[in-house]
Amino acid sequence: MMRRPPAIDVGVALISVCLILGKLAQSSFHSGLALLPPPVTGLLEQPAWHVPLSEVLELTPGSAIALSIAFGAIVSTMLIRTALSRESWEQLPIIAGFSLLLHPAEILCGLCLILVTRVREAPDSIFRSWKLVGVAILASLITLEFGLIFALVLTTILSAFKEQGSGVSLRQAVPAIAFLALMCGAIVFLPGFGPALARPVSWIWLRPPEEMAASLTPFGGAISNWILVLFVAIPLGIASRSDYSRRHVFIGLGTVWFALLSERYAATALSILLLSSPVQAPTKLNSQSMNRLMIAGVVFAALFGLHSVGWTTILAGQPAPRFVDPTRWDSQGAVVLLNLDRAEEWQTPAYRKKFSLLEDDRWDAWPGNMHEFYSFCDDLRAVRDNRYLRSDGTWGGYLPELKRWSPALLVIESREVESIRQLSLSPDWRVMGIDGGQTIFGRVGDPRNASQMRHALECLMTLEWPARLDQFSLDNTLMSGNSEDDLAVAGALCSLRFPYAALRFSRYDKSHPTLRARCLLELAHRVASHSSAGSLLDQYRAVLAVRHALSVLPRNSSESTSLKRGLEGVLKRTKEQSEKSPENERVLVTAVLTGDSKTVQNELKQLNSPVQDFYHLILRSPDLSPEQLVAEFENVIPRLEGNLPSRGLSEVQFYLGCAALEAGQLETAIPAFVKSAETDPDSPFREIRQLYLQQLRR
Amino acid sequence: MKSFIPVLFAILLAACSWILVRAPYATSTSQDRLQLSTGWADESSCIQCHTEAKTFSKTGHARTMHTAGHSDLQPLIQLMRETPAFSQDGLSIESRGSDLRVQRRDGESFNDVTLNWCLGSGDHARTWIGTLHDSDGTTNLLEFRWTWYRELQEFGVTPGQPDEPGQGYYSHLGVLFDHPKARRCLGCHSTRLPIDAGQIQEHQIQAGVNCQRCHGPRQSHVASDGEIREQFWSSASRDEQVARCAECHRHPDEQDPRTVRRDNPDIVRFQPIGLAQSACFQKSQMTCTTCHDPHRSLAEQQSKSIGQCLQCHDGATADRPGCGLGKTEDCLSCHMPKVKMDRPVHFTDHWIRVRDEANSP
Repeated sequence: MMRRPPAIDVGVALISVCLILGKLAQSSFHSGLALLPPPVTGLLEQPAWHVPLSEVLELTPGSAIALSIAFGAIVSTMLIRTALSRESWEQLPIIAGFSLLLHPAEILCGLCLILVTRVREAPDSIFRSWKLVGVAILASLITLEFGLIFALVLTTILSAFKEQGSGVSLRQAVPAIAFLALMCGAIVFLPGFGPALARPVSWIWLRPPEEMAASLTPFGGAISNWILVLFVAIPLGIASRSDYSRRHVFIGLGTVWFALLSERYAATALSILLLSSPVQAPTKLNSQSMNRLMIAGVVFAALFGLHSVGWTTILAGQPAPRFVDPTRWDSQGAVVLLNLDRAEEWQTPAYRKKFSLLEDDRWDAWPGNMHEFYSFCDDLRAVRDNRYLRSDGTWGGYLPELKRWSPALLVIESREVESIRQLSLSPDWRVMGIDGGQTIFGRVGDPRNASQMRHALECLMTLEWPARLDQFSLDNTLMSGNSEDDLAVAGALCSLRFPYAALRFSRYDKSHPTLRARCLLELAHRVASHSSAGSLLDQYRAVLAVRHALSVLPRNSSESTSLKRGLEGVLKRTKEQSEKSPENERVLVTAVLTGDSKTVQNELKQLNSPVQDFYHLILRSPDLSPEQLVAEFENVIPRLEGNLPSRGLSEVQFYLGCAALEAGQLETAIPAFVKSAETDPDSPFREIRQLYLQQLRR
Repeated sequence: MKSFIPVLFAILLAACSWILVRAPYATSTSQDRLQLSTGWADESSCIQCHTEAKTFSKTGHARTMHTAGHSDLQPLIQLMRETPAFSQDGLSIESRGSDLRVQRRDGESFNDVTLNWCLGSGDHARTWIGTLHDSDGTTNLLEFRWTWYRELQEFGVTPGQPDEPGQGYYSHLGVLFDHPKARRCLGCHSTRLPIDAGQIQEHQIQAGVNCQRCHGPRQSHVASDGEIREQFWSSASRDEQVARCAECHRHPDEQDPRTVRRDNPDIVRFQPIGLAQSACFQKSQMTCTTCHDPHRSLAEQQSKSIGQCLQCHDGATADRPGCGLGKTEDCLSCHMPKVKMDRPVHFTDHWIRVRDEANSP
């Protein structure tokens, strides 16, 4: 009998609904939503089972969103009602956890799970068995994860038989027999049905490498899994102290195990845990501690949920487009996803009209030689185009497959900065669009990609070298919806060797030391490798930024290795260059270029006041914004005239140009570089200065 | 029941751990053979049992990569210093251990680069290169602007580089190659090329194409006194055998089909591409080793003799036709002539055919 929910329960219920709807809003409004699993699967896959409803019903993006929200609300409400009807308070944290983890595409599966639960909690009867069979059939028609529903239905029917012992009549056994016969028949006669049925567990032995499907990796989404542990540990801990039956503890442990192994199935596993626990609450706690615990859970869930959805989205209502929409480009054809978790986004009806995936997340339909595709992707990431012999005697190199499969686009996560750098060096791919989630490369030579490639290049060039701003538009090429997106896009831009553009996109945010260090290192490297001297301004800031980043990064992470080696390369170049500098400057210049501020301070005492001011400015440069740098350089340069030889003065003018370029002040940058060239045409920075001027005047 | 729960948790944790450490499905654990860190034998041990190893050191393959300042290269380095074009361009060369430091002075300004390696056996040419670090620590490469050509016995502009230097810091010193190209260049001139996070571990490079480049890491073979044998070359298919050579000499399927034309001189230096088009190849079971003995230098082997051709073209039967012009020697000058490249280097055209003006490069 349902009790009237107290205010706190209603609060939890509302927040859960908000979280689910928030997740829907987050994914659907920007990148489309596949409520029904798409009927078209990867080009390289074997015959697969397609959800029948998706074969006959093609949802438009608008209707999919509306239906998803409606179903999301129904699922949330039914979950809350189901939990509350049992007066089992410890299930509320599970509901919150479920709401956090539920993926929009799992809504129909969640709906079926709830239907099964509601049916199985009804008194045992032959109608109940038939109803359960009906829900199972419904599940196979509307969701790809029907294996879970089948398992629950079968378990429920067989449990009922076990409770009845030898008293089971033939009439009572008919639903179970019919269900088993249907299932066996479908496995035998319907291609791909069996493997699809086994999907909820077959990923364990078929799972792809982590970088290709992080959601199938144990602890793949580390934060959400640990939150899940938290949410599940509370009721399980209570269960271990109570009179829960052995079966329920087993189910609890099993689902926790299942949830911990895969982010993708975490929410489903939680819902099973939620729905399979006993109807009667065995635990009695005083209302005060119960309320405290629940308030803590509610606050935690709300904060996490709001963080996931994004404050801007909540406050601004309908958000601005956040993701690149490749369907608006001329491109079409096959697409290589380097992250198969994105398959759903690329299989909405609008996408399917123009694109087909080489491989998607249908591991139940993967052929036996999937390593061919993975190796292809590995070679793409590493730009291994030509043939090479592997240690097992097989041949690597992606060119033969590239010709055979002829993909038009390649999609990689924007946070995979090392792979993006590699791909930017490939002769076969050019960047076409970047957003906070993915970076899209187009195949060179495909005429349908040419226009967008040109536009993307123009965007990148203008962001890096702010010229021709009248023709500048980031629309559908560089997209960002919030500060996290900005950072992801900035990381990709830096990998593509557009450090000024990356700094602009990151809003010069110093709270992300790794990104800032990468950008400044890229700038310092650019100058050092195209000049016969290092840039005091860029390199000093880079050295300090890298050291700071290394102090916060895990020691053996790939980012830390990359930064360390990048810095070593720049410092090695400095060592070579310092041999050529005049004796009297060598110690001071080397100290600045290696970030040795103590030696710089000591050496400064021997210099006259205006020159000291210049070096003090360099020492303060890491803490100054680009605009402040420009102002300070403009202040110090007049005082340096007459106190520095022409070479030195030209160098400071060059730094003013660099600072102005970083600040986007074209009207200051160009004159500064021109003046630097006039003051000392043979400056060590002449080539890089010439390059900067060419780009700014293009 | 309560005491049973910890056991269940232990099992749960064990299962999770097992899943965690288990490699994902279909992840190839194999890697580029050149980058293997273990399994390599000391190349000098080959000579103790294999007579082929004695002659192999004279082959172009064995001599295709040296450190920049290697003793064998000293005469060329001296010639480099004496070459007028170098001084006219403001270039000066300084030896630094096994490296060469090249500096270009232009007025009061100077540009410089360190050259670490020299590629090429010297049978055709020799080109110096320098390794550089990219901003992420990966290895890039600078191909020096000047190459020594045997045919000229002097230095000239490196193949593929413009006659007149362009703009930029390195324009007078050479051309920059990014990491994928650097890996490809060095990969074909070495037997072992360890790479760690994109950085070529130069101190571990095994320079030159030596025994283990074709026969694979042979540590176990040496350790077992030859008991553990390599099976590849005795059992490999023809295509596989050709593919091994084509790893560096270019496989036909890596070439744009539109460029595979009889009149295209650019494909001549990629011998497997031409060979695959030849009727001799298509109508027989020949491989690269039918004519070439890779264990001997070109000068020592019989690859240029008529004997190779007479294996099939002895005129004994209609399907074994002899020379239409009745010649009895020097098949190669008509059917596999040497073709000049854009620089003073000639390559033998392996597209074996009856040639005329219209279908020749």
